[in-house]
Amino acid sequence: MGNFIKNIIITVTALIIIVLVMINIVFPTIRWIGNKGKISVTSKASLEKILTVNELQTIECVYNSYVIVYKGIDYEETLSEDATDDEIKITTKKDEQYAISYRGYVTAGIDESPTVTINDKAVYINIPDAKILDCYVVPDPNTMKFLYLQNKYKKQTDLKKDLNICTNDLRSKVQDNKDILALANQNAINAIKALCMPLKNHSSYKFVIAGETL
Amino acid sequence: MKCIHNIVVCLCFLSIIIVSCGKQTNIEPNILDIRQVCKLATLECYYHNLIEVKNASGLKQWIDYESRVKLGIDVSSIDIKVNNTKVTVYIPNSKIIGEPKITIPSIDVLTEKPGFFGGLFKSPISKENQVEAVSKANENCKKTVQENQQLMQNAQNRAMKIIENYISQIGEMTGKQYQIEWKFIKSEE
Repeated sequence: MGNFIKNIIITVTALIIIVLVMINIVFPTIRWIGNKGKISVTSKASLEKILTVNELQTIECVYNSYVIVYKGIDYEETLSEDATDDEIKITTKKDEQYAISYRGYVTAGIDESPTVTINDKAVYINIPDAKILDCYVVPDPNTMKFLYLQNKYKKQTDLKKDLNICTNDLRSKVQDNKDILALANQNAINAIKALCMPLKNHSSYKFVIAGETL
Repeated sequence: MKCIHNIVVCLCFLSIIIVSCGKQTNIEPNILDIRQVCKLATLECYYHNLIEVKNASGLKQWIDYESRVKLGIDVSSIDIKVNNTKVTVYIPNSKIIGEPKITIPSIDVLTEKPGFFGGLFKSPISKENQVEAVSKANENCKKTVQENQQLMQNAQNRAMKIIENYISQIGEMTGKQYQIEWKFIKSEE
């Protein structure tokens, strides 16, 4: 009798183990229940760490363009770093002398870390607005060409002055360029989506990135 | 009865063995996930360019335009091999995805003014010249982006960083430390 009860207990225990094991085989992710639904403070910190892969959140754009140089402007003075658009546009078309083409680069993106908020069911990631982070003109006379807009004008090359004019032109053109900023924002959102994808795939949390559900 | 008991105990052990083996392989880097994240790694670039056009008489014109170009890697060519904790990733070089899109309102034309005497020998730039120039701009855009090693490298690095992050996250979840080996596939184009 004692042996019989012992055998039944062993058999029932073994059957329970087998059933649990079978469930585990059929639904493998059930093992992650312990981690699922519990993105802990440590996970939040590691999530924030993952999101600080800065080079993914900036883009570099090529900006080759030209600037028209007008008669009667002391570019050394008026086109300083603080020159406004109005100062640049004070001249009329008849004052056009020549144009200089240049090769420029613009870096745009996010210079602050995205903010992460976690509640019981979702992870919210807010992405700051993209900004123009840097722009420069390549200081190489071979990449700067001239187009004469008044035949009588003969240009004396002054690389420093020309570079200053081109740099200020580039700066004023990209300052409010919505296309560059929109692209920089979208690229940053896509990078963050890609970085969060593995976490999203293996947790029960909903990921909301810049208002969009992943 | 003893026989049934033995069978049940054996099954129990067998199940535990199966599961403990299964635990090692359930979650590991896989190609479908990698392709999914690489699609998001596509880099859309803003490209502002200037081309110089000259007509038969030598009159010069500059055409300033902007376009958008998508750079990334061909996700269908990516492959991975996982051998315990060593992951070999076969990755193609980045390329232009689709055709560059020139934004037509952004096209700005500046023509040289040769003056009265110079102008006597130079014919104005015709509409045909300009249409040709825009089409040239389109070709030029693709060519200059392809030749811009820095842009192409940025797109490649972006994809690699994202794959690396994916693999290391899977490693953290499973308590493994994966070593990644990159193998670059030569593009057919």
